[in-house]
Amino acid sequence: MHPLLRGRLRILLYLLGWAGICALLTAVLGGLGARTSAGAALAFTAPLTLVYAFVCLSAWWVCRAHPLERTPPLRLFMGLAGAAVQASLAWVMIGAVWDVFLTKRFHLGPGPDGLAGDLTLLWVAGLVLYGQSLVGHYFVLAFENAREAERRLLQTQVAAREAELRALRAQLNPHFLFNSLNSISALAGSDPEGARDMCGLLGDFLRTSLSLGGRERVSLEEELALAGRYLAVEQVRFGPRLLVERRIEPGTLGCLVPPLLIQPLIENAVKHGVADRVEGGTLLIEARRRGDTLEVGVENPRDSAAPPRRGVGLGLENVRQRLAALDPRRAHLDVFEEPERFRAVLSLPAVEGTRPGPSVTPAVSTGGDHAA
Amino acid sequence: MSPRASEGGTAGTRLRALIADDEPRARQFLEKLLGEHEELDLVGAARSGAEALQLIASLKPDVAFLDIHMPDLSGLEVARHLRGADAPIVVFVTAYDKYATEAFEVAALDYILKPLKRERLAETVRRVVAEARNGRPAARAEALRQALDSPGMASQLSPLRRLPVRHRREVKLLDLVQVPLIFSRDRLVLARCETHEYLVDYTLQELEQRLPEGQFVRVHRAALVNVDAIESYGGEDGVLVLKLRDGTRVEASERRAAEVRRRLR
Repeated sequence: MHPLLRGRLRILLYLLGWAGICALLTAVLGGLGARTSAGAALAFTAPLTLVYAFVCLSAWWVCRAHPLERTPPLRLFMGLAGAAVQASLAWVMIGAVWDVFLTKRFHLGPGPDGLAGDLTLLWVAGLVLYGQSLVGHYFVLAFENAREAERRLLQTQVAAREAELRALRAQLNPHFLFNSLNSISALAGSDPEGARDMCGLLGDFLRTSLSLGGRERVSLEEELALAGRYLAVEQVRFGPRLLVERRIEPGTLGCLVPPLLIQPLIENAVKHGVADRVEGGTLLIEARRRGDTLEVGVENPRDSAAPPRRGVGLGLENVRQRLAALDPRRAHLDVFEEPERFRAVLSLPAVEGTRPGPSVTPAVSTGGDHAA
Repeated sequence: MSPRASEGGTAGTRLRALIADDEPRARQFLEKLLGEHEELDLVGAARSGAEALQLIASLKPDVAFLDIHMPDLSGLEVARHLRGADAPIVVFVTAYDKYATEAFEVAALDYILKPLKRERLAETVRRVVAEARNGRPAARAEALRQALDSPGMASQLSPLRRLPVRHRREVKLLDLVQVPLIFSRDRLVLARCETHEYLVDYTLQELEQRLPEGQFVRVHRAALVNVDAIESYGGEDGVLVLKLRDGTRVEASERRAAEVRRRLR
């Protein structure tokens, strides 16, 4: 819909502008001297101006069909000039009919000699006015685009900020922290070496997630190393209930990903695949490239007896929002729920970064058990 | 089990204790710390909520230390099913449950926080011993149950992934997919599973809130139907009738028919 038609006040102001144009046309017409009175001239111009005021609104769609920055100059000129000529000629035809009608019915017309003058005036004025309308509409369009862009930017920023906040809160997941501290406490008496290892792992995890969270992009290698530390800590807690299998294509490690995007998937998998299951299970972490798309999958066992999850949960929803802000067309999260397995797959454009400096220890080995 | 000083206090006056935690390390740690108390005799360690219920039924401990977060049935849920003269004193163990611990304070329930601290545990053990001397386990269990059923507490409980039911003198966990129908009859709530009907310790209203959202639908005042167990449904003489896979026919009440149709669509 035309933006002008969205408010009564806008239409009123627009028509007020055209009243001025109408007065100008009437004065010019009076100057041509074919009419006897100003009233007669006004009888001709007023209805015609009103009609043209609405014809000129068509410029909105013409402008939208010919975006200034993306249309080749020749096509732009042809499109705009064509529209102006069509509109003004239509106006001339309506003007001719109206002129004849006024002459025959009310004897207000300029007579056969004046007709040509009237119509020439209409055509020239029609071209100029339509041209002005086009310019005006391009301004409106630019203004609307700017506002839209600003709105979208704001939305993206809000989503990113939310994600950051949530990631921060996840790092400080109190359950994870207090349970880990309890494990350290438990190890301290029987296995001081194990307790020291666990302190190191927990410290590494916290430090890494803080430093990754502040960056725009991190390599998949760094993100997976973080997951590895997290899983190592959880393995101390859950013991043999938590097993991890990794299938990482080496070529994927250099790809850049937003930080802490995979971490929620891992935490989700540990919660549903291990913490919520008496027998625990094996997590499968996969990364591969398909053409120019990077795919990261996290899979966990689920109870076949448990009812299917409804909705994807807050954590995964946030991952989805962040992907949408990243690249709405190519980045997405897919969730596959089978009776026995739950699988979340991230797809995003594969962008190779320059190799990060001294590479951090990639994956922590599975089954790390520090028990004496 | 860790070594424990055997002298001090005759076996008769020592309290029999049971612990339940799904994390092996946490279990060992609690075992070790409790082992330092001569007043207690550790008789069992459960790795899940269901096992805790089993062990409590068979071992009849005087006190149970229940971790709140367990995979199959939370410690809160376990505690809710303890009743009668055999019911143990319950101490909850949790890493972080802001709301639950607030509710415990209000109801004066005993709880300890992870990481476990020796002094706090010692204090708890002293309280438990004093409590045990007071006797009246049935009244204590009833008070605990009422505290857990208070609205503030109930809203903090996570959805039931399995349905605890009474089976002989024990509590059994049913998979929700096995339960097509839960209904009330003569003021008792019963769950149907295969050909049996089991006694359920929740009201239908509680179950409506506690079962996973969308899994069960209340078709009339006295029945909850498992959405996945419905084979077909349709109107018969203006009454909405649900046919379940096991052959049961359930009529929806006029008042709930519209809601039931909406949920099944």
